[in-house]
Amino acid sequence: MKEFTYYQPKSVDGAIGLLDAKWGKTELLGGGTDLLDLTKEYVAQPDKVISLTGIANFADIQVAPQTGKGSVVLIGAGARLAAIADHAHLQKIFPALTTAAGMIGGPQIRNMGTLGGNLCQRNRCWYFRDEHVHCLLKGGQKCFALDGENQYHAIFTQGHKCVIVSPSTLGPVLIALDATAEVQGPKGKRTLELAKFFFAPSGENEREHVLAPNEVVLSVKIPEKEGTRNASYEVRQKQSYDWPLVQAAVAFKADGGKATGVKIVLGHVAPTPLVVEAAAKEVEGKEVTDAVATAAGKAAAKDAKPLSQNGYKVKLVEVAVKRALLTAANPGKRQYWEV
Amino acid sequence: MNYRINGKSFAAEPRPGQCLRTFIRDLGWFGVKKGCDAGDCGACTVWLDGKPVHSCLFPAFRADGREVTTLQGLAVDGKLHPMQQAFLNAQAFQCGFCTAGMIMTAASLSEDAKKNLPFHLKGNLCRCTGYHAIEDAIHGIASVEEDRAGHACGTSLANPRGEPIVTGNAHYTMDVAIEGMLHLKVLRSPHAHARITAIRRDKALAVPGVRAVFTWEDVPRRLFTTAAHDDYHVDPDDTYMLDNVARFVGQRIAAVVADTEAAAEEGCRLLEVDYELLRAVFDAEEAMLPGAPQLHVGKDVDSRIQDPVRNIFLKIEAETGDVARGFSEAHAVYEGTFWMPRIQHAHMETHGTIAWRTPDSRVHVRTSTQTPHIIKNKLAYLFGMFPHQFHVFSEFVGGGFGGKQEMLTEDLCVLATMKTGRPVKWEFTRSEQFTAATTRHPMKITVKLGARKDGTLTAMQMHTVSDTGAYGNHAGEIIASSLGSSLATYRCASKKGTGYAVYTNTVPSGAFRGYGATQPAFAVECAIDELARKLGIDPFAMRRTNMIRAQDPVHSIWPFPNDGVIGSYGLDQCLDFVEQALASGRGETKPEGDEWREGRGVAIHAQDCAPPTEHRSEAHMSLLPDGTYHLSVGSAEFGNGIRNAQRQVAASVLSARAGSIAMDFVDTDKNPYDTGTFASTGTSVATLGVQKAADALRENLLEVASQVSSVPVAQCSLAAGRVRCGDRWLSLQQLYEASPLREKLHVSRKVYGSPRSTAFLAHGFRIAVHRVTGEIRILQSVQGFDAGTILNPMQSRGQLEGAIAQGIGVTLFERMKFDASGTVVNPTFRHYRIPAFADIPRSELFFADTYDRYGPLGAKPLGEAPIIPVSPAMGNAIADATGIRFHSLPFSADRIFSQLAELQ
Ligand SMILES: Cc1cc2nc3c(=O)[nH]c(=O)nc-3n(C[C@@H](O)[C@@H](O)[C@H](O)COP(=O)(O)OP(=O)(O)OC[C@H]3O[C@@H](n4cnc5c(N)ncnc54)[C@H](O)[C@@H]3O)c2cc1C
Ligand code: SF4
Ligand code: FES
Ligand code: FES
Repeated sequence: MKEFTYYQPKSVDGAIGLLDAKWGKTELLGGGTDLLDLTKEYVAQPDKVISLTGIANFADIQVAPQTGKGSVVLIGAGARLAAIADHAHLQKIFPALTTAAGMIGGPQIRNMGTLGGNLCQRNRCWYFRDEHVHCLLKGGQKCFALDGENQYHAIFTQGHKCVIVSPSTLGPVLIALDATAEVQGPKGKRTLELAKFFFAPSGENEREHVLAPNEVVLSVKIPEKEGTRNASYEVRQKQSYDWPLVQAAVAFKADGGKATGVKIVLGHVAPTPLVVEAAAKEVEGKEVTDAVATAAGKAAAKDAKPLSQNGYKVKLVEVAVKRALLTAANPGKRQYWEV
Repeated sequence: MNYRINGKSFAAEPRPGQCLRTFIRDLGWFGVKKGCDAGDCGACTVWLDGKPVHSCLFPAFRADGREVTTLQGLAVDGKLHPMQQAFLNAQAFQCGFCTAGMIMTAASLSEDAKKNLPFHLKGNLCRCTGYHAIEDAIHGIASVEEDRAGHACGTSLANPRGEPIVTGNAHYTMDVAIEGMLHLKVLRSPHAHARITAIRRDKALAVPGVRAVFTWEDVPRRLFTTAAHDDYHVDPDDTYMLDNVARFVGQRIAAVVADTEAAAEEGCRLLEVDYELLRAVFDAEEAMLPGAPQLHVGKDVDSRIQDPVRNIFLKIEAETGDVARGFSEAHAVYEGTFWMPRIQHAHMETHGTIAWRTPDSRVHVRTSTQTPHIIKNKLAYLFGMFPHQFHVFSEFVGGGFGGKQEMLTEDLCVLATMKTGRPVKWEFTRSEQFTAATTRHPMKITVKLGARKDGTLTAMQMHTVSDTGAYGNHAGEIIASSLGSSLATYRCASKKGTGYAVYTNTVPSGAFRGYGATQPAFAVECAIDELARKLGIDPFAMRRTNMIRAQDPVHSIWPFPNDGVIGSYGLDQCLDFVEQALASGRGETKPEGDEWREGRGVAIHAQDCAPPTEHRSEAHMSLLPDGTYHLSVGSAEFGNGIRNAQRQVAASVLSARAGSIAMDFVDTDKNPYDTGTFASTGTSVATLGVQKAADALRENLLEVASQVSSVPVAQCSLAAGRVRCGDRWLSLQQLYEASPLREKLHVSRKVYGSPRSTAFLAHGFRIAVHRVTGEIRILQSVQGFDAGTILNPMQSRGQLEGAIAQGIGVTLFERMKFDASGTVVNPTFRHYRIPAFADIPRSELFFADTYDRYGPLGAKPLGEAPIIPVSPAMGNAIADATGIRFHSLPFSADRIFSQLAELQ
């Protein structure tokens, strides 16, 4: 690990003041579950690390009821994954979010990792994480995964040169729930739809999100819509602590037995979370039956273009979408695939 | 900054960027362990204000002003926390290395959380136990039985060193602070095959704190093998401590020694090395072709390499009977080729050594090893010194599984301590475990079997190509073993085998639990099922017709006599048990839906209880003045429970409480010679030595008692920890005092690993396969094992459960992946994926009722073999469920989905 200096500012402005305008020299520190690993492996070699835990109210979760319209939930970027997963009210209205947060890592990771860190974490491509490999994202000339070991990489590469999968499990859920993020930089605050938050990087000076190097995520806001149904379903190679192979997050309004405003977002299959409109169309205005859910799954997987070793993920997309839809449509019901 | 750790306050300043794990350890709290340093394993779990976190990913400065609790702080006023007590009662550990973190997580669980352990224990890995004992502990189930004199054998006695394990006070290899200690780090080759043309050290030496740099020019130019065998001739001398040719990505290039680990690491990064790149070969069959790059050209007879031009360390070919005739008499013939990938032991404690010198010019080597005595001899050879100048020892060792039957860290630490005069420590990182330690030999095996209509085998033939990687440590014994037990499991007059141990430019293979038997067992047991299917015979019936029987010779392909014998026979019982269990309806039911296919599979195995190479052990036993005993034996304990078993055998012979027998940690200064604990010899050789020593001591004690009491020997006996002389009772203390010749109270016995008896086992699975996702659910797992007398039922179950779990891991998930340059791309737990709690079902276990004629008190070893039939039993179950025969491991979704997708 390269040595660096720690800073623990008391305010967001203080943090921003310390941040460099270019990637590389400075890093923010949420829970550190990603950053510490990156620095130990020399993949990140910052000079300054700026801790966010000194900032007041940064970890708050607020539920603001709005008359007649359900509530608005505001989650501070410093909120721990465990706090999100265990939040009783969130469990009721946004089971997609609490399930997804509850599946990340093990309890120790969830006691440390934060929402902001989850959205801004670096990808897990094994070439990227090997200090000695100079791939595109480290200023190199080629992507090693493209024709290398790519069993966990993207199946929707969409022409991107770097074929990582977006590592954030919360991202797809928040997009499905129409969340927005408030971020602050040297020029002040801005609000960003989560759907526009993520980015497919292809070089050293880009990240997996659109923030500038001196911007900080402050919070995420999720509107509760009446009659909302939502779920997240993950297929994992094992039941244990690693990332999902494929994730589907779905949200819709249950309108007298029919689903409207359907959103289906895939996680861990493309360089960014992937909104699949074709799949949503299969469900829009219909009752979520087994057949409809199956058709949506097929539609979601249709445009996949797997690499040499990850064709299996295409089938998993079908399954994940189908199961996420059935889970959302039948809250509380024990599904046949559950152990 | 102010820290509160385990209720004590410290004012200390962490280094910039330091994580809490190393910070706590620097303060002397060694109860916090490292399994990965990356958030995957949980060995480093501590509480922060009462909540568990991975201290390896927690920035130390953030603990300022907060309450940190480690395992060492869990007991209050000397009273164990209920979870510590529960772990003791259930003996929920073997090596105990994961325990520090496991208890911290377990103790934080609410009653509700305890109902869903698969979920809540996601962040803690254990490689030894298979998690069942841990589950028991958390649910308050106790397995430990009372230690009563005369009842030691067959009782579930607790590990005598359990208390330090559950309190975090057990000192593993790295858990000591030594004044003036230097740290060693190694620069490793980025190339699979390259010649070093220059190494510039100036920049490295300029790093503050760096004391020395060592390259190939600084080491004794002596070829050796890292493998630890009594007879070193079985391995090729093909390795230099540091070499000017790199033969795999990850090979040592240079060592840097510095005041801190960080400075040593920085020094490595600043070394400038010029390489002349050489062509590399990664496939064993390609390596044998003309024109392939040659790895060890120039080394031949002296190195004992048979054919360096074709990269063949050793070729074996032999036949008994007449295989050609056998096949011509067959009504059905099956031939298939099977592949087993490279896998890693993944013991939780990584390799590591601390070495220092004393003014008497002795070198002390504290190390994580299965073979201390051989390490001592190897060091003497390498450094041109006398063996007695080396003192090699361990305290607690955090798992081995064969990986520590190897000299991987000791040599460089000794070199550095000799050159600097300072103590030197070197600890592997988890990625070094994958890129630079040893692995299981990948093999490609073609099996051909012929049988008559009634199923009787007429011929068995096997062709094995074993990839030994860049060096040949263990390659010869492994290739021989691959042609051994799995063929010997069946009676058949004609058997033939060819095996090649081949060099490639990949990380070296080495010893791994099952030692060359797991790979061929996968091939043979799958082939037996396929042949049975061709003949329309049930797999159980097929095995009953052909499996080795009690009076049979133990023979595979060699036409000359061997010392393999059957000391007791229980294979029939094991197979019956598995068949009945699978038919019983116990276990889970298949999930609903026609996407799931159900199937069952079985595999059997007959495993030799000792290796064919030389294996020796010696045991010393004494009566002490206070009437207790001291037992000294050189076999290493690394979680396998061997020392407890040895104590129990001695206690049984002496009708004493096991608790009255003290043993030391393994130490070449204190213990007599032992070849090492591997290849099942802990029981079959070392423990046999213990029995013989205890027998001898017993005889002497009775003789002395007779002399002292003037009662004839025939009327003297040992009972309940005392001596009975006719109607008089003497305490052992009195006996000691009255003994005219104290020398009689110390005995020594030696044993040699021959003849080699045979252990038997059968494994069965009932599974469900999801034909879309490729998910495999284990509905029932059963194993029957014939280990003769069961010395300690709880410990024996633990060995089986742990080995089955490891077997499930390598069957379903584990595989080291290499990219085109020969680099391991998944050198982390996260991507290598060893099983967690959620992945392992509870197996039904059964022990056959037999008594081995050769083993200690009738016992046969059981730590090694239970992994062997796991993969083929699973392969057979999948074939039964889907009709598809998968020929290569692991059966992970990405590798089996395309064939499954064709099922409708
Ligand atoms: C074993 C293991 C399993 C895991 N499994 C999963 C999984 O299944 N799904 C998943 O999504 N993740 C997983 N993770 C990743 C886990 O690290 C994240 O989920 C966690 O939320 C990251 O949060 P953090 O606060 O610890 O991030 P940090 O390490 O503190 O930060 C990560 C990155 O985000 C930046 N950052 C942090 N906070 C902010 C902010 N407020 N504004 C701008 N930038 C910020 C940092 O500069 C850094 O670059 C896993 C991690 C481990 C170790
Ligand atoms: S997928 Fe992206 S991160 Fe991985 S090797 Fe390719 S360019 Fe690098
Ligand atoms: S050492 Fe911290 S999780 Fe493995
Ligand atoms: S006891 Fe768990 S790793 Fe050894």
